[in-house]
Amino acid sequence: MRVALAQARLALDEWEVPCGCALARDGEIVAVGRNATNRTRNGTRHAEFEAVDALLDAHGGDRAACRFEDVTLYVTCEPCVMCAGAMSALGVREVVYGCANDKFGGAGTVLDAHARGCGACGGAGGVGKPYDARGGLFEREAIEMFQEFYVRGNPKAPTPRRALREFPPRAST
Amino acid sequence: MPARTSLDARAPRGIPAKAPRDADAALPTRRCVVATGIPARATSAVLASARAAAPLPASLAHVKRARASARTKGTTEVVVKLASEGASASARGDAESDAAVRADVLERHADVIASVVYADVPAEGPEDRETWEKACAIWPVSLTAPAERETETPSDEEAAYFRKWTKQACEGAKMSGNCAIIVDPARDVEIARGVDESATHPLRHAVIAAVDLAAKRDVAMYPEKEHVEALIEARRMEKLERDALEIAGVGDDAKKRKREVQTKGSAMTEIMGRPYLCTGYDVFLAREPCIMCAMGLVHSRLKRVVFAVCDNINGALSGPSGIRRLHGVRSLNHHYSVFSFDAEEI
Repeated sequence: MRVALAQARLALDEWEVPCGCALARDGEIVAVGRNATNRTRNGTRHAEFEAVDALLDAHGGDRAACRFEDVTLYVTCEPCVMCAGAMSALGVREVVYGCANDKFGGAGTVLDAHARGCGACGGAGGVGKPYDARGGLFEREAIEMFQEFYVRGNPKAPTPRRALREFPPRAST
Repeated sequence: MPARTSLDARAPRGIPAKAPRDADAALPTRRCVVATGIPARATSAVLASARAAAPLPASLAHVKRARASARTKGTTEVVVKLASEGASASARGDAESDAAVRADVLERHADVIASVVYADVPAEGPEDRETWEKACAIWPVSLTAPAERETETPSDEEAAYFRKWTKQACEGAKMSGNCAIIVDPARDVEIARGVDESATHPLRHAVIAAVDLAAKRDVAMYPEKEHVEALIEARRMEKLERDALEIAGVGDDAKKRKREVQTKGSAMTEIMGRPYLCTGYDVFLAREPCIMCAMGLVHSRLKRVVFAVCDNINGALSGPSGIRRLHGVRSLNHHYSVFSFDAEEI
């Protein structure tokens, strides 16, 4: 989780909503990711998607070699509904998060994508795999980073503090 | 001229944010840990501690945290926290597993809390009096203002537009299983199109592929520096417009929300010359999206989602509620309208 927090810090420095994550397998960190929605102008490029792509790239795109069933996701903020569904589609072992996400949290706070699973929508059928999700690890540190993001002003913006509180929208994790 | 398909004989149907409820069906509930036997004079102190230690999620804003006990006169019961997943054997054990709750609620108020038990609370805010009465029989809740509903029956013109693009999505899905086409309705032109590539990348469903291509198109068409400055300016304008609306005190909340959404889209488009992410665009799919894709479309701010075939197992938009009807989840920051052709096959 310290690695995930460091990733969130990097995201903060890049003017992204500060969420970061790490994928661990057999007690080792095999991939990291941080939110990149502003840079890519793609609202789905959350930390989890970045990390999953990094792991796939490391294995030459070979899904089986990634052994997602042995992977634990450590993420600073509860995965949103999309990411919680994605973790089910991958069939990860477990998700551990920092702070809860009471607007979009998909691992128990708003919806329970971790328990219900996410099946495919490509016509091949199959149902999603449920997994365990726990929160509260380094919760305070994760929240503090979000607070820092939402209160700090932008020297470039004409009405610094308030204008930037809304920039970008709180589409985290 | 594309071949005549089953869609020609079908009319698109709007799928409202809330499924019509069977009047006799039980209301959905969430399990909570509740402290009981609290003397009335101590209620507000316990309540304040519980609120601070374990705030309830926004989706349970309708739940009143305290109620008068039906069993012991003069005492109250307070919701301490949401029950943990796979609820523990004892409610007290569950409450103690949360350090803040244990110290700030249970230990601090040990002298006034008689027992700790599990209790169910209504999971959804009631929008009419009848449901409210039923809900209050489970646990006291407040009446929730109904969400604003668009007329969900498309006009003939809209239906023809929906049909044209949905047919294309079905055509595009023939090889891969699913296809998503993002369209700018104002110009009736395609912005991006993605097909299901989950055979080569486990998360690259049709929607994820289409959103990715739309983003790459935007990056290619508009240079980085210009983009960032325009975005900041657009955000500032949006804020000013919203403040103006608030000062003018326009109508009720629902009206204000609608105006806000409209100004958001227009300010962005005006200043940036194009929408923020996919704001205002429509997406057409062969099959109903799964929960991952449906939420990806929320994040991307699509305006309407139209698909040919419902998916009764993995679909996230045509089911009864929650994860099976995502656009009915009120706490999300964006809500699109949903339409289905209810076709049997693509």
